[in-house]
Amino acid sequence: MTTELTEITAEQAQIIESKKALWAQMGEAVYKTELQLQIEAQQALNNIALPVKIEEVPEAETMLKNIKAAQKTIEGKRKSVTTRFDEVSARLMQPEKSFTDPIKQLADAIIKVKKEHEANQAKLKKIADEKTRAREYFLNKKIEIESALANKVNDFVSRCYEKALKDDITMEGLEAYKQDSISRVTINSFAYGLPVFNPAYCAKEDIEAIFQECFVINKSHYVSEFAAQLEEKFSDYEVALGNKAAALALSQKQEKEKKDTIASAANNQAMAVKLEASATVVNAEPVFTKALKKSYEVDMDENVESVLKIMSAFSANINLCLPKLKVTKWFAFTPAQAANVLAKVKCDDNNFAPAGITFKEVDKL
Amino acid sequence: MIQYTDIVRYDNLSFEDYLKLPGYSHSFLKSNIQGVRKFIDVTENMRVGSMVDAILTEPAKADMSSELYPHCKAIAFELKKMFGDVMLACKKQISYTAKATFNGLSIDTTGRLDFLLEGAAVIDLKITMSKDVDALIKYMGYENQVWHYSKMANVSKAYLIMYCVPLKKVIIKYIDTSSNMNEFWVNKIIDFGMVPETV
Repeated sequence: MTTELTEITAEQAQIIESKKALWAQMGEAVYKTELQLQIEAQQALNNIALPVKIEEVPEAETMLKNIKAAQKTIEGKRKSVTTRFDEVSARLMQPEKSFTDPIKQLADAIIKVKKEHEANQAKLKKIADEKTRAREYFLNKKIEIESALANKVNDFVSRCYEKALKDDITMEGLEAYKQDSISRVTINSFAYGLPVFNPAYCAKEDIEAIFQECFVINKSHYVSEFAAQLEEKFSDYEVALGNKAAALALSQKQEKEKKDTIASAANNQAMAVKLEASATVVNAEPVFTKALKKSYEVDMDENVESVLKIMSAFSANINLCLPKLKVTKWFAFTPAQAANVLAKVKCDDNNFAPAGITFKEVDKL
Repeated sequence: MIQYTDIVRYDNLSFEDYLKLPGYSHSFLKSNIQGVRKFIDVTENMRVGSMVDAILTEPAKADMSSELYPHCKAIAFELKKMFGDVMLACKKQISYTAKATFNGLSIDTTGRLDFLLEGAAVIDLKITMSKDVDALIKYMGYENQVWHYSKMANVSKAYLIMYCVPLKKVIIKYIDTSSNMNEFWVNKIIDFGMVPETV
């Protein structure tokens, strides 16, 4: 919101009056000069005769020289008037120029705070990412170990069954055989190594908490599972005793199927863990502040070698550069424009690295 | 609380046959005007989405002669690079019908999800030209779509695997679908629901 100048003080009124007189004189001078310069220009141009024959050329050359001199004189007279406006223009431009430093200071301050904020956010992200990795690691280890333990149960049960058939355990001795087998399988049969995750950014206590949350394996479950599966396996033992070969073949087939089921379930769980670790939640809240724009500028000394390198890089990457350029007068195209367009290409593709060109990353609002 | 009953799962059902299943789909419910299906002009972006979907989930349907095919193949490749193993572990293009009931009102619904990780999660693929993926999810109502799929597939998690074309980036979003309430579906059941016939 701007404040309009509505009231004029007596002092300002006095200045305005004196300016009116001066501008009136200036207007008169401008008008007279304009008329005078028109007359002089017409006089100088009126006598132009274009040469046709070679004999006429010396006279035409003298005329050209005189006309150029007349043009120079007129330009000098014009400038003696128009230069008086330069100071006025400079004064009128002063208010807009006064914005430059405050704008830069304000922008720099915003960038500084944003950079600090982004650095903090990056640090927090590293911690959060490491927690996610730790979680993924412990969950995958859990899946791997649980899968191995389930296979162990499967294996124990099959071995007991096959041994019973091979050792001709009778129906009378079966219960004792089963009880003996069950008593041999304890939680120690399902021992495993604990996974270790060494954090680079998180506190060890945080990783320990994730471990406690994710890595929960119930060994006694496998002991009871063994007993339950053993019961089921031997439920048709009487039939099996009479068909040993078929029973053994079927047992091996079932063991293999069970193994495949365990592997498939473990794979599904691992994929679920992968999805969970890769996903972020939806957050459609408006952003509190826009992130800084990372962009590039050519960062090279201003000398002829740099110019040659820049123009060479521009030429070598002409197809990438042209779509980013708006040039109407190609003969006015400068190395600065070439450097600018190379930086634009770099902004689009971070891997863009033309030979000999040095870029620097800059933050923009 | 919305209850899902009479859930029927159809594996290996063609899309054409899926469209013949009785019930309201999410896409109809979100875009209908006074109960009439809104005419949707198929844009090139929509064609890209469908083709990537086909390459990954129904290869026989992918039209290699299309001018869009090379672009779609590149997108599908990016998705496979990151989640090919997950896709391999999933069941693809499973269709469902189910009855959704709220406060005594019921609607018959249908749904066809891109991927199901059995017992774990449903996954839907999205290709987008928008850079603001989160805003797009809200605007398009994708959360409601996968919530519905989750209920039919009886899982409590959903993921949107999205390829953001302008950013050339694969983004995966998690949607918690464990709640038994969903405002969009409550409103739709109230709008289109009927009292079940008494015997």
